[in-house]
Amino acid sequence: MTPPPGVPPELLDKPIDGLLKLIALGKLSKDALREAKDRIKELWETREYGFTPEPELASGLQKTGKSEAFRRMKDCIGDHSYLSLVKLGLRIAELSDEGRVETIANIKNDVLNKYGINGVRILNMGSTGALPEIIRYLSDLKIEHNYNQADMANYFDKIIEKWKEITIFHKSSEGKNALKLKILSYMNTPHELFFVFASGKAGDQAKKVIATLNNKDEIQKKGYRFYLFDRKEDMTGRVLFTWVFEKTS
Amino acid sequence: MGDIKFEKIGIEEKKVLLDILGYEVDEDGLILDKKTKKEHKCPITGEVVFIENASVLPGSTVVINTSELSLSEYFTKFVEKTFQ
Repeated sequence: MTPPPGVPPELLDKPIDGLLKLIALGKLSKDALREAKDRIKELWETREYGFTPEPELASGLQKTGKSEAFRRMKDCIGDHSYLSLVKLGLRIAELSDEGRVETIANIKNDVLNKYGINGVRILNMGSTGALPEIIRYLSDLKIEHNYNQADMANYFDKIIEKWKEITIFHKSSEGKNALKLKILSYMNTPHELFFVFASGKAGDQAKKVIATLNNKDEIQKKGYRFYLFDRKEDMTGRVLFTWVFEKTS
Repeated sequence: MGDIKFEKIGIEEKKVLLDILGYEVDEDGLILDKKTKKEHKCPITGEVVFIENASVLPGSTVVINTSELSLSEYFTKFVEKTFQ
């Protein structure tokens, strides 16, 4: 493209930030200024550029939005009001691995102010590593029963609402017997659905406890079935185990 | 739709961009609509936006207060809904 007279030929080849800088310096001729502004408008309309004080954060969220976990969740619950929080929850899982405590605290404050405690629960699902497993569970459930997005959104709402009552985060210091009693108590309540999370040594304990309960038919007798999901933790290399217990009768 | 390339620019460069896109910045750093002279409100937080904390984002033009939450909501409301 030939620039008009008085406009330096290299001007129109500059990237958008370079053009902005040139204009800000205030040294362009009237013709060159007009051309530079037109070129900026043209580049802006490509929707390829975004300017923010937090480019790293924005790029991270963009990447999370294209992750398989997020896409599966979007497919599950559609344009649910909590979808942005699911993305933040997945992002928080990475921030936890990086030890970004202050950033996480800021996010939680903002979310608490806007969405209340249920919003914070979604973030906590992320920081404990449970969120990808919840997504996997919901996605499998949708496919198995051919549920629609409204059904799944209600289901997710219920999980959030009852999150504290329906989760067991087992620690190895609590021992196998304590876990066994907790699982039996959750089945006696009975909860329609509950989750057991454990990693590393605690995960090995939980595997033994649940295998023993299963071998003695105690799970089936109480009308439950269970699934095991496991996944490799990114940073530590530990495996996080997630068991889902569902009441079937 | 490909990835958006995010960059940080200086305040003066941001003022230039906002001017081209139909905004102006008052002496306190508040972003105003150039035509109406009214304070621009962030479409995510509903609050006024100061130049220092403003993100200027595509889709078509979205000027928001910058935080982890508002950026996350921006993608959900303006990018993923429109282009995916």
